[in-house]
Amino acid sequence: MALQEIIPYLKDSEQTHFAAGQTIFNAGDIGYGMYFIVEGEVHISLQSRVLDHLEVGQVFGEMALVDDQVRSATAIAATDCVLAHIDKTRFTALTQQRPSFAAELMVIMSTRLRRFIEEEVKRQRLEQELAIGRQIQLSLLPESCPFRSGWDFAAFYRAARQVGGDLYDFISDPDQPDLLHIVIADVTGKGVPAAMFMALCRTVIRTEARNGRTPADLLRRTNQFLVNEQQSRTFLTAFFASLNVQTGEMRYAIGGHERPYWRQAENGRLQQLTGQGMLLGAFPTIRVEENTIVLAPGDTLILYTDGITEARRGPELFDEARLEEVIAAQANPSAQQLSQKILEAVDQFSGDTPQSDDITLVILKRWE
Amino acid sequence: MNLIVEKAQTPTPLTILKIQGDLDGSSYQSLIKKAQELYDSGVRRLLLDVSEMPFMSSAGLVGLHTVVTVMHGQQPPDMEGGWSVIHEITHNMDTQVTFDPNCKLLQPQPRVQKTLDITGFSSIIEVFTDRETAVASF
Repeated sequence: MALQEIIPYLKDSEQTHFAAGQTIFNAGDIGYGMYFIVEGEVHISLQSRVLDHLEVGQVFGEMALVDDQVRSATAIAATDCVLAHIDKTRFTALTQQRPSFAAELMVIMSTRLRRFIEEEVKRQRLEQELAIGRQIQLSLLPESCPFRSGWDFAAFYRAARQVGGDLYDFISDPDQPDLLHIVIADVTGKGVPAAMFMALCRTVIRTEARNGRTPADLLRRTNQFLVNEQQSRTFLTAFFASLNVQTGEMRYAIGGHERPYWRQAENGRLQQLTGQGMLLGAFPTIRVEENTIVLAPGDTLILYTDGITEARRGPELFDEARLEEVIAAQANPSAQQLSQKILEAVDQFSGDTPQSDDITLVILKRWE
Repeated sequence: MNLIVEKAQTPTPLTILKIQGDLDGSSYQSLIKKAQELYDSGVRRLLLDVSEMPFMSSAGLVGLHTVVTVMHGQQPPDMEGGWSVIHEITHNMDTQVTFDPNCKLLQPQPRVQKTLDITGFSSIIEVFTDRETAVASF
């Protein structure tokens, strides 16, 4: 509605000044009329999400004239503003003075409704895509942990609402039954593209592992494949290890991933594995170190993704310090027990703060 | 997240872009857009002041990576695809012996420095702990 056309009719309307940031009305309030913006700007929001930004000459709150429902959204002055309040009586008078007023209002309401419907359709489509992404991820994760005499394995995965794309895998080699390859990885991005990328990474890693590549070589080759083949801007952090289940010797390489924790039974020492290595998919060639440790009887290895250490409570992160505390506090837990303790600690810390990233934990314990 | 642009008083042109707030999935595209605007306006040397950036997620890494490639003179790829451009540029970046000359980082907070180290970004993008040295390095 053009301001100059409406202003003459608003001379008798109540006009109120609102300071920037001031709430005009809250969602759930009883509404007695609509507002016309004479000066300034107004935000319409719901649950902290700004739905609309209105300027001089525009109206809001018009639904209160049509039904007796409470306000459906919150209106806040975005700048200092002057608003003319038009209640039902004034509205009736306005439509008598200017018959087209009602029709113009209907056009505004119809346009707003159409836009909200479009946004709701988009939101639902995104939710569906995320659900598909989660399904793809879940279908690619191992159905169960491997069984190896003298070893205890536990694995946990929980997708976030905004799905990221964590991966873990156990790869056995029929030609070398003593060897078990272990992978944990984290894909950037979300939704179906991240899930498809994860599927691609899993295939490449499995293929290279079964080709007998050493951990560092495997990560370098995987990186090269991803950089050459992929068409989306997605990166992968990954940890890959080849474990000899008879001797406990584990060769590993870290591709920009969170450094796993190694808890030694002999001296109770808790340390993070060392080794430089770049994340995959960002640079055509990467530097990756390879190292070897020996997991002795009683030792535990804890692999995780940043969904654990970057779990939030407001601005605070769970962080490595808390994770180390939880691990160190357990006397001689099984892999499953330790996994549960870590997850309990993360959930207790986060409270009501929604999970923002996938959480993955893989724990190995050597018993004998 | 806020982005503050400052033209440094140096003999050779240098722009300092301060990132205030978290660099994550909700803000990395704004950073890329700003870097492209700066490049289009003639900026060729960029110091990213991350002293007030408490957190950088994996999406933030993508943003940082793209800013570096933008400062190499290439358009950021279509958000839906177009990686071939980045591949060409990162090939050049990765074969260089020294750090990237066009884009550097100033005073990352400990958590961010850790991410840069773990992912290997700190071997591609030079990191400085004081502003004078950072500015003088260009």
